[in-house]
Amino acid sequence: MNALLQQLQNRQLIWHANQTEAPYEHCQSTGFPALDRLLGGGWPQHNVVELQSHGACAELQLISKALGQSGSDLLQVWINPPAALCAEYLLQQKRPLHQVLQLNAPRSADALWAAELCLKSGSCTDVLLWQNNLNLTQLKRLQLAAAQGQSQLYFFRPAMAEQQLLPWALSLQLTPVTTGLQIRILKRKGGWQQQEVLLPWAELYPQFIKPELHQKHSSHPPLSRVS
Amino acid sequence: MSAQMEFWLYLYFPQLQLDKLLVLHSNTPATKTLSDKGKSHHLDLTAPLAIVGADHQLLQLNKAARQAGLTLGMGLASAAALCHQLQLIPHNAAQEQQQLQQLAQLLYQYCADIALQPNCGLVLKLSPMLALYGGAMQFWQQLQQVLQQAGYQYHFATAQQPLVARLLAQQGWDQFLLQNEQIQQQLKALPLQQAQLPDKLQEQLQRLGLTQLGDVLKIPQAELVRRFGVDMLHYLQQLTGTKPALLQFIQPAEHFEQQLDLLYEMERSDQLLGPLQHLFGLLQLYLQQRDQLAYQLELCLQQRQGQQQQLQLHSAQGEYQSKEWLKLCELQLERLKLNKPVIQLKLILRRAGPRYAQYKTLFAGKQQLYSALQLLSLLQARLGKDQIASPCLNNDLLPEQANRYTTALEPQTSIEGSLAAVRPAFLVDPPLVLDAEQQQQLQLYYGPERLSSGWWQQQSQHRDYYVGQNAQGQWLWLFRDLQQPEQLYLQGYFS
Repeated sequence: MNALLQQLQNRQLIWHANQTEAPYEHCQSTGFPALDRLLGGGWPQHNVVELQSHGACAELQLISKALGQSGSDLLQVWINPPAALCAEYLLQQKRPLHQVLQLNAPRSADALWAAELCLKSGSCTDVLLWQNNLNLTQLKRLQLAAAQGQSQLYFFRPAMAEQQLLPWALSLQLTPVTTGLQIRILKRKGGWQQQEVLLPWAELYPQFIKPELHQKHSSHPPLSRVS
Repeated sequence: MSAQMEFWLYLYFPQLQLDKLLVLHSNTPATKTLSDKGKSHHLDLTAPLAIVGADHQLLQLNKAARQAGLTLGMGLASAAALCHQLQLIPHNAAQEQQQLQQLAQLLYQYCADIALQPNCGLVLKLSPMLALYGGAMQFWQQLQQVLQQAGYQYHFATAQQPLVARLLAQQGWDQFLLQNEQIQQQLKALPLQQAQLPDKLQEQLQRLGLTQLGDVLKIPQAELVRRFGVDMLHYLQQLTGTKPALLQFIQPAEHFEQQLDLLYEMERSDQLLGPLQHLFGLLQLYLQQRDQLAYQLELCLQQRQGQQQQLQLHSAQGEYQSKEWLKLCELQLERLKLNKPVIQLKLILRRAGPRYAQYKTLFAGKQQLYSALQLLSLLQARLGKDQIASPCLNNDLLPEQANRYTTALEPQTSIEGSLAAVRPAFLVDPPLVLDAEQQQQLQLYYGPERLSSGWWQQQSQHRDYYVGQNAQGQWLWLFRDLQQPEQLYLQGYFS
């Protein structure tokens, strides 16, 4: 190799095609085979995942299997959720309520600080954060904290037209359509972007949508609970 | 004879107040930069500095003041003539007494019998401790190490009687000896002015032409008592040890309450961290001695014009280490806005408990930086206690009554009964009224699920719950009140 090339390589100015970033080492299955195929295995572990949506369109349903598998002896932290948490829902997900923390941090700096602290503490498994803005430094800090504490951050934010490009391990855009939820990859480490998959509502909400009935008004007799 | 086996160590601290300033100064590096700017209200400890008593005499001098030619006991007028930029601090006997108490508590770790003495002295009973330390010199080395760390100047002497040890220590003998002959020799050579006799007695003896204590001791005791009265008898008894000394040995403090006067007024809360470190160090010592953990502390920031601000510091797990408390305190101070400059800090221990071994996850393969309780304390310190909660389930049918919040991380009693199949992740409380247009756009998918509740009270509720999707594709949990069936309410969001 000639001297100039060697020098450039020593200064790490040369990009090798065989050194492209490998896809994440560990994956957690999403529970939806079609989505697993799209993501190359599932959610990247101990990292930061972004989910963009208008809300109330099955975004928690997508991660519920991953949350359920990450062990119930450690904390699950919800930072600035859009509304009050429903304890019955959490119990359905087999999550002990005293292992769930909800934080309200009106200032976004406080929310990010709390997320970082929880991630690196090692006593949390998952952190769910609702926030509008994030910059590159903040994302890097969160990623390092997640790797250090072996925890996972799900970052929820409203879908926005123009986006600053950030090095997410995985960033998804969720758009509800009549037949189901359209999931588009905005950014994926070591993979191709701009791929899409459509998950039908019946697969996302099996508890109240029957596959054959999902366009019609359900016709079974009224349930009643009277005490 | 048991009296002969007794040995006492007297420690005399000649400049407690001044040394305290120097110790604090080395803990707060910020002071130096500020004093370099020449601000008038900040003390400069490298320039001549003196502590002045009530009778305008110099009591304690720093090195620079001694170099300027000042001596102890000098009057203010001559001191000002010699050194016009001399900085003066009034003598504070109460503060010195408090420091002496602190020192005694510190030494209590190493010696069981310690008594406070007037005029900044401590007397320690050596004899019972020698067996524990395996020799006098080992014990003394241990004590010296502690005293050196505390950073105060001291003089010391040993003797078989506390009074003899005091006389020699205040003279500045600085010998650690267990041979009585040498001690007696030194005692006999002690000038009569330093013998701490009552003034009247001393004058009478001097008129007789006696100059040293040895001269007095040569005269038979009975003769002395006959001529000088009962005061002389008491003095001689103490000097020879025929009457045991009346000493009140200290007991470890039952409560932790320490205050600290600041060197100068602090206007920013981050400046307080240096002095706070000192206070938390004292707390750590207190807790270590008792093998306890502190759960709640109160920090009072005394400000000018008699105002004060209070901070409550909590640790859910309990901590004894000063660095952990400092971290928690730092988070709270960040949020605090000081009304007035702070002149004094006071730290009170409000709740403490015994220390247990703390278990961390060993087998989960995770490196834990903080335990769950430590994490909670840190979050509470920065965000505020009421911003953190855990959800809880009450025994009620109505969703807004059943799903509430409780204290974070508190184990909850489980409620029997099967869970309903369909519950959203988020609840809207109170339920939102949907207008006619919004109702038009809704598409209902599931329901009704009827909840009837409260019929045994006045406020009975009968609701039919549905799952629906709005025009934006959001999944909603809705209900219809049976009393006004045309109206739909939004109760929650599926997510």
